[in-house]
Amino acid sequence: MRLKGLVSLSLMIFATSVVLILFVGLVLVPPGTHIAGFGVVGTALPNSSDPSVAAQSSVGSGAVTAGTPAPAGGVSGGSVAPVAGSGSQSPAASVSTPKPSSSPGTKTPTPTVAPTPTPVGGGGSTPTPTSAPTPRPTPTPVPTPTPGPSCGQANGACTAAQVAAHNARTNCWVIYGGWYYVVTSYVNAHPGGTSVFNAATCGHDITSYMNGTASTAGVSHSHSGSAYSTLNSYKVGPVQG
Amino acid sequence: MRFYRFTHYLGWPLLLTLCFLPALRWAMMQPMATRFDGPVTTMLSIGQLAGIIGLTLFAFNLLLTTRIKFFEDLFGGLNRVFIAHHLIGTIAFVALLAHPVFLALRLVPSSMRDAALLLVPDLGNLPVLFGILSLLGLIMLMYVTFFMTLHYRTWILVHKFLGAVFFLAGLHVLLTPNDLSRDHILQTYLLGLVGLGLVSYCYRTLLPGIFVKRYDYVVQLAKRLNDSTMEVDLMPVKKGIRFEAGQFVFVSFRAEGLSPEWHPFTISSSPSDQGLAITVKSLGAYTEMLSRFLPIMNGVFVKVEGAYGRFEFRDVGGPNQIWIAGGIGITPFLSLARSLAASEVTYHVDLYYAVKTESELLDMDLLQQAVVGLADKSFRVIPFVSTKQGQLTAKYVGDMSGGFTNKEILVCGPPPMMAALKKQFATLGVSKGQIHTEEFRMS
Repeated sequence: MRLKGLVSLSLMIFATSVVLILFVGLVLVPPGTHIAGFGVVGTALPNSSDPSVAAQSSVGSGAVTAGTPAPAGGVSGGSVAPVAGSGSQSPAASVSTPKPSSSPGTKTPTPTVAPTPTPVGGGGSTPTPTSAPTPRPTPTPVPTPTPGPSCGQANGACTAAQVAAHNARTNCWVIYGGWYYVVTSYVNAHPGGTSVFNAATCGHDITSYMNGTASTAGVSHSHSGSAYSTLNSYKVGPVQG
Repeated sequence: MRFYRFTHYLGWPLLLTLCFLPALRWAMMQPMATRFDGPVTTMLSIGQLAGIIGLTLFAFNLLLTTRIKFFEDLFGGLNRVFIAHHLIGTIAFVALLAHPVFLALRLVPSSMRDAALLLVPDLGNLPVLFGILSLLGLIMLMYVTFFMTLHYRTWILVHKFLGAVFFLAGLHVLLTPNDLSRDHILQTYLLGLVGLGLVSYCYRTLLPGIFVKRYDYVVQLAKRLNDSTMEVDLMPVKKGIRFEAGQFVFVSFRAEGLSPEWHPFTISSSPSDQGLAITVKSLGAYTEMLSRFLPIMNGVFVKVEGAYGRFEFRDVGGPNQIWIAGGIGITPFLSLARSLAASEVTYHVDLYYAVKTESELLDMDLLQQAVVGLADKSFRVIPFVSTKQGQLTAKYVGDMSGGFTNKEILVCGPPPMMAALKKQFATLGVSKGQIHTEEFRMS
């Protein structure tokens, strides 16, 4: 009877835990949401294992990942100028206070914001929304970082050398598909063990590890879609040069 | 106490050591400080340890089901092996339940969604999928075992799926890239255990007809002892089994209209007898049916497996003994009493035979026959009818037998009765080493 009680109790705890995790993780919490205090930026792209899709999505959601208001504002930390024809924006809108992202990542590409301010309407200081041409979606995977956020900031571009400097488990950045990811908070959570992130992976391009053509810590395997999804949630910005 | 009884206490320490070894190896793979230096690593470590220990216990549990006699020596009889089997199976189950929960919890700080997705079957992640399917199968089997009343045959059929569950668990271990796959010693140990578990499963559950040695017998005489009990005398077709007094066998009757399922029955004959006698009490659907087959039982073909059990008066030490039988628990004592006469040592035995009503008492002449040749003073049978005298107590036994000093106490009966008596003996200052029990629960 004692064993039966133990089994009952274990089953109840197990079922409660699993239901709670599933409910909170899949229903309550939007994809890509991280717990505050873990220093993670980036937007999750659930089940997006295709780097090109990931890149497009990231570009489209770039305005969001920086912790800025809705994409319509076209503002990322005050670094991107108003886009012609984007609506009734005023300069004041471009310096609006960033708010926490409320929009989950999306696979639908949105127009790439122009890196350089382009006043429309005869060079006046105030943009004229009515005469502005509609911007075309630009599929360029790597936006020009200047003038934009600097390396390490959301959507800020880094060189491979800059990423390589972050080669410790306590400060671990990795490169995949032309983007860099700050995975320090994930180092100890990797299902393959805590030693997967080491001097061979931190600060380096991990493409070959992700697709299973190289091994780390004695292990090589092709990662699942959810693994790519997890990686995407740590995306910060593009790698240049 | 004979030396070889010492081995009866080795089972648990040996088992715990073998389970501790992979955990120790895991602990040596990297500094412990890094294993538990924060909530994430702590949850990861607990999840990994739970998986290692759960799988190890699961494998050993399959090994224990083989009924190999070596394990009887280690645990002190097959009944104790089965008790260990139940306990180990439960601990393994709890550990295996904890394994995915802690691995998912460790992802919560980084991504709640990833934590949830880890628990969702994903065809794109086969190693985890195998683990999830294995655990779901195990949960169903444990639920059926503990919370459903199944027919014995259905129960046996359901348990045949245990091998599939274990096989999936093995695939999960083999294919999941983790700490184990980076340590060849640990990986080899665990995969070796998985192989051992699968071999055990094939030996006992999948193909017992090929691997397990069984003996052919024929029913020579089936006779009723009282309203609910009958004795069946079996004669070997060729070679018979070798057994000690107090042991039991698994028997399958092969009569038309009777299920050939295997059931344990205690041997009530003496090892010096030519054949084999078992005592059957109507306690369930199968034994009820056997009772109805009594008139046509003679000449029925029977398969016998065994003998099992380590309930022997010669193993327990001194010649002054108290035997306590509850209900059908009298059967091993019948065999023990019959072999007393052949013993070179003179034993002084008081046999307390407790039943609910007088009608349950086996023919007392039978008991006297069992001890023909013994001097009256060396063997006393003390019947005890609980509806008239109340519950049999340790105090009553002590008063009747003149205390417990230098006496060995052998008890066989319903588990609640044995548990109550053991507690009372302890209260009266009887050491655990003096008490020897034969639990009846075998399933």
